[in-house]
Amino acid sequence: MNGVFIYFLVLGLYFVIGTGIALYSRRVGVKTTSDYFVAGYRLGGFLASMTYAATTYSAFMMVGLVGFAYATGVGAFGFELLYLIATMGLLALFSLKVWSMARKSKWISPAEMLGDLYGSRLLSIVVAIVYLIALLPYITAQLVGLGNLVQGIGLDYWIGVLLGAGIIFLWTYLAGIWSVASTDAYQGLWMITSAIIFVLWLALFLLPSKGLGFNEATRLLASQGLLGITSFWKPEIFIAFTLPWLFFAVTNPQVVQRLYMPRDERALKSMIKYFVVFGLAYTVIVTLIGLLARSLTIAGVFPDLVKTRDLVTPTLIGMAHPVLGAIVFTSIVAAAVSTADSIILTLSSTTTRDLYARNVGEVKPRTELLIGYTTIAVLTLIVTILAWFKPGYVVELSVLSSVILLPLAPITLAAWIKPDMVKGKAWAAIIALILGAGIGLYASIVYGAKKAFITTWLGLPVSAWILIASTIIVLAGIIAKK
Amino acid sequence: MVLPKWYILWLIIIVLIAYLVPYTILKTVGDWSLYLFWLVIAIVNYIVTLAVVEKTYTVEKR
Repeated sequence: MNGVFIYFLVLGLYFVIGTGIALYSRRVGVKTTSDYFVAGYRLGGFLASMTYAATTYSAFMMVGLVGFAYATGVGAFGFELLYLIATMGLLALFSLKVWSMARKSKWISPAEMLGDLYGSRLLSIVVAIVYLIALLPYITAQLVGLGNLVQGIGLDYWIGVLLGAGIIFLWTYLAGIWSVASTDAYQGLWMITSAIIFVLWLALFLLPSKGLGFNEATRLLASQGLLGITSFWKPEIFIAFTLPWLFFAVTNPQVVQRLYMPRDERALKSMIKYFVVFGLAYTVIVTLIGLLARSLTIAGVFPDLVKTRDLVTPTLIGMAHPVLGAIVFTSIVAAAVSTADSIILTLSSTTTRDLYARNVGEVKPRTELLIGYTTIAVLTLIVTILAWFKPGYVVELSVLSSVILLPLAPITLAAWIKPDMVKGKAWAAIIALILGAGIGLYASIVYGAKKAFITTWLGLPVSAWILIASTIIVLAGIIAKK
Repeated sequence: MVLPKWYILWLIIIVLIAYLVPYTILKTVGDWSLYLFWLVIAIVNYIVTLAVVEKTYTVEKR
């Protein structure tokens, strides 16, 4: 059977099952934006944990992080694990409080939450606009990942982009968060299962077939210094990469919004518990794939892809049996789709609530939902066009979004820690946000997307300056009298 | 909900260790010890975090 045909067969199976799940999820009966965007605050523990995981872990993992570990060594593992360590802490410290406040205040979008806590509708609008600016590259990165992936099996780049965009739109549109969360659970299971099979194939079949054992692979990696801190991971570079991710759980609306959804404390606890297990396993597997692939390159039996690291996974897939290749290929499609549809839904919620409904007075539930549907279509179109022009590496694009969102860390944390103290201090939050996001955008324009976050000013990365500047302004606002 | 203050201190220490040890003691290792170090740190933090969540969130339960 033709290899490409098998890929389309497995992809078709993934699509049919996923669409079936999305259609089935419509049975809950979506009537309001609360149902459509936050599941009416009644998501079970399994769906909550899987949608948190599948939303967080994108095509960046299997395409970007595999290549990153391949090119820069074990430091890539530390970079990703620091995110997970920080996220565990932030979830333990704040998730119950945020979950409780969200259902009391009927929040739908994180911009609405910040506006309420600071007592300013203008802040909601500014935050919503920053979300839109920052997250477009993040969604674009998912489609770029798909395009690269499809190129790896010999098809045109645009096929991957259009395929991804079509699935994202359909599964988001059908039942909002119900179709997104249920397909996320399905896609998350596909992602982790195929990753386990893939790393086993690599370690137990591909390496031995090329005459390499685990010990020999270790020796080869060590000979290049890839098991220690390589020259790429200078301390300031490590900080530049990790800092935006440490606060990802607080700054990125698609994950903050997921704190509102669990139906009770038990579901919330399950969400934290199983998300971390998923994250740990996936990170270990993905970085091992990159490192083992690099050992093959050092041994001279795998192409040198250090300069085109995003092609490591597609090249490995090309070496696998078509059935295994197709399963892993589809898992990357799943990772990209599950992240992108979640973000598009979140952006749709913030556009509907913060840029429209809360500013025009009384709005019928049906009209509000229609605005939501339209936003989903428009956003999907925008990211498809952006992905067509393929801007920069997946890694840089993904991290740049978090750099622009970084000023939201002190703004959000201050509001979560002491809600009474930030009331009426929206001016400080707005200045901090505009200044912080402005620094990020300025750096991206001056240095380009690839270089913006690794550039240092006075020895500190741009992200650190954004965090320092926005924290000082937020604190000044809290200290200042009304 | 009142989280133990020691947990905040614990988190800060864990993050600092995760940043500093690789750049000092484990910078030029020739085996998997740096990889395992980060993995163990993450697992230990997970166990402690789960214990804290379990205790705190149960107190809050209606």
